Amino acid sequence: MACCVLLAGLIALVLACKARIFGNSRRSGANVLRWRLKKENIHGL
Amino acid sequence: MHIITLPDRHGLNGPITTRRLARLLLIYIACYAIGLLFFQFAYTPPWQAFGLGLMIPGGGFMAYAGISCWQGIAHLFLAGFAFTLFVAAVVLWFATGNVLLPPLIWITMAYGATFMDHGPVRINGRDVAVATILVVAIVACVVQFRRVRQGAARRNANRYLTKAAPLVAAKIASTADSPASEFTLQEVKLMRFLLDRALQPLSEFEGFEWVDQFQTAAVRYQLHFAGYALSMAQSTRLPAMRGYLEEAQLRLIQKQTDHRIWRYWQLENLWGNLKSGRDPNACDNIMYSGFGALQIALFHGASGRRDFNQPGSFTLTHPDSTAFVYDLPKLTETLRRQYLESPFHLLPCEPNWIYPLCNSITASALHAQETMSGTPYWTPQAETFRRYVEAEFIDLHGRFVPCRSGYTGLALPIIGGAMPQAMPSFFLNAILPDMSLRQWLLLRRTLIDSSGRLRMKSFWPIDTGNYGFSYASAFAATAMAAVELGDHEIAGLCLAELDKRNPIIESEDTWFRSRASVWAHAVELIARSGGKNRFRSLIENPLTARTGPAIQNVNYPDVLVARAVSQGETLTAVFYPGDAPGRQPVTLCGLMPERTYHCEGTESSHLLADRQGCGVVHVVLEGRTEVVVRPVT
Repeated sequence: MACCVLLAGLIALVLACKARIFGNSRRSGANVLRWRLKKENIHGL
Repeated sequence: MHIITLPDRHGLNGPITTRRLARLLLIYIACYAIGLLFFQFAYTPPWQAFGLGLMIPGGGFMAYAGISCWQGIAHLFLAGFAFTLFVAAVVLWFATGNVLLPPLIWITMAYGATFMDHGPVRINGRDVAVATILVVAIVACVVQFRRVRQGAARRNANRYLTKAAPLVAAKIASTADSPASEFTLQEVKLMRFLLDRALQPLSEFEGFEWVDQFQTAAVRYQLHFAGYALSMAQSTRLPAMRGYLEEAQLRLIQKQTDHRIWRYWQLENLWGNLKSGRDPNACDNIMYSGFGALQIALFHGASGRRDFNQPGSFTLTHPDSTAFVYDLPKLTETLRRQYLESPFHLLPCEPNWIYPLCNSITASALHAQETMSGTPYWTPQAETFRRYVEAEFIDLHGRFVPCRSGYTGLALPIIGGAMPQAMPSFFLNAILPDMSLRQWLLLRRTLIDSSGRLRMKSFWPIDTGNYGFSYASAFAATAMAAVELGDHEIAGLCLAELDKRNPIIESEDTWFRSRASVWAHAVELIARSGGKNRFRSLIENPLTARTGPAIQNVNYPDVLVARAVSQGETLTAVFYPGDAPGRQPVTLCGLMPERTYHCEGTESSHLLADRQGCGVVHVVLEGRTEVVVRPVT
């Protein structure tokens, strides 16, 4: 039983570290590359 | 042509690395000995398991491991899993500088094993002794094997450098370098990909890839390399272009001061250096400070402006209003001082992880600022830098070590294919060109086969700019180095392969390379903007004065500039329409006050400069439009 609890704890720790360190990656991929600056957002040129 | 050879060396590592490794070994032996004492003399099985756990990560679970019953096999798996966790902690240590994690996981698992209550331990002292002897023998064999194999590879490399390489180098040198002329329409569109991202308001980061802020996909690198690319573009094709091109470089530098870009350092400094400082420029972290210094220096060198020499011009403000006040001179002085104090004479990126590539970038920044300011930031330490790179950061085989731990001396295995070997050659060409050429020639052997085709296995199929499966960054970065070294054959092959494997996706309102990161786009523009020794030239011959006629302003993105060069009092420029054809104003500056100019390619054939030496011409853009403005004699 102790072994199982320890295992679960370690897995949770790894997952927590992963989430904290890598964050989420929703803002990556083709949609990001497709983005283009719109004219109304160009200031000060 | 004389090519320097690899210095004589017999050991796998340099002297400082060897001392660090010896220290690590002593610490491990002490840990092992304590574990052995627990295992032999503890009264209860849990603490005997703890002893095993100290001897090897996850070893505590081996106390009940075996292959004769399912419980034994389960514990074997548990020990394997625990060891894998430790390996994962080591990977995270590398990725984020978290030096606490590996020992913490090690101790936690050793302690965790004490909670097992399965009676007397199943393994005995004889088992431990046999396993220890076996492991020591295997490690000794591996080390000896590597020493022999790498030693042979070094001798082979030196034979190549003495005999065949001079011929290859002469062939490369004899290839005429095409003079910097103008960007093609495709290159103009590539530049627009970066300009769009750079020119948005400072607080916005649309179109950048947010994956993580620790490793190679971090947004700071996208900003750095987009800046390097635009500076190279200005230096080689657009020296008489100001307007949006300079504004874009300026904004890319200012975006680096956004707290979201540099806040990772507080965490890294805490878990890597055990320090609470939040200032990302104060120590280590050259992946921000050194790279940023080069970004600013290249902007100064390409534009002739000196915005960031002003005191406090690169100030970072924390959300709690604490300000870390910097400018380029202060940044380079901070780096110079750290170099003098560093035991390896190279500086870490993540706490304790020292990358020769990042140091070649940082050293380029020091050299550039030395050239511009006259302050000896680089020259006094150039030879020391060379000596330490040779001894500690080039392996016995003759390849750049990707990175080395300053605490332990351990190095990351040679991974990443051609890119991490090619990129240092690009930057070293500005500071240690003979070493740059040698390393490039050694790498070049592995890039093409006997029929002159690229060896695909030399390129890593992972785009380091976003960790996606793509060769884009590998081809772009290798091409970038090849162009700088004047190796048109390799550059052409890499760029052709990039076109083939990452085709351009283009529609009315978008342009990008499929499955290529933002970072890879930036690196490609450096490659396409470059030419033989053009990066070195930007470092060694920065623009010191803004003279001659220039384009002060055009509407972006209605007008895209493919060429802008002034020779004497004559300005030559090439424009493309951005989105739609039309009539567009072009504001010129640097003209002789109240002088009349003859204009070709513009609506009006004459222009009278005002008292400030400025004037506006109009062009009708339907496609490539060349404009020449020269004074009427």
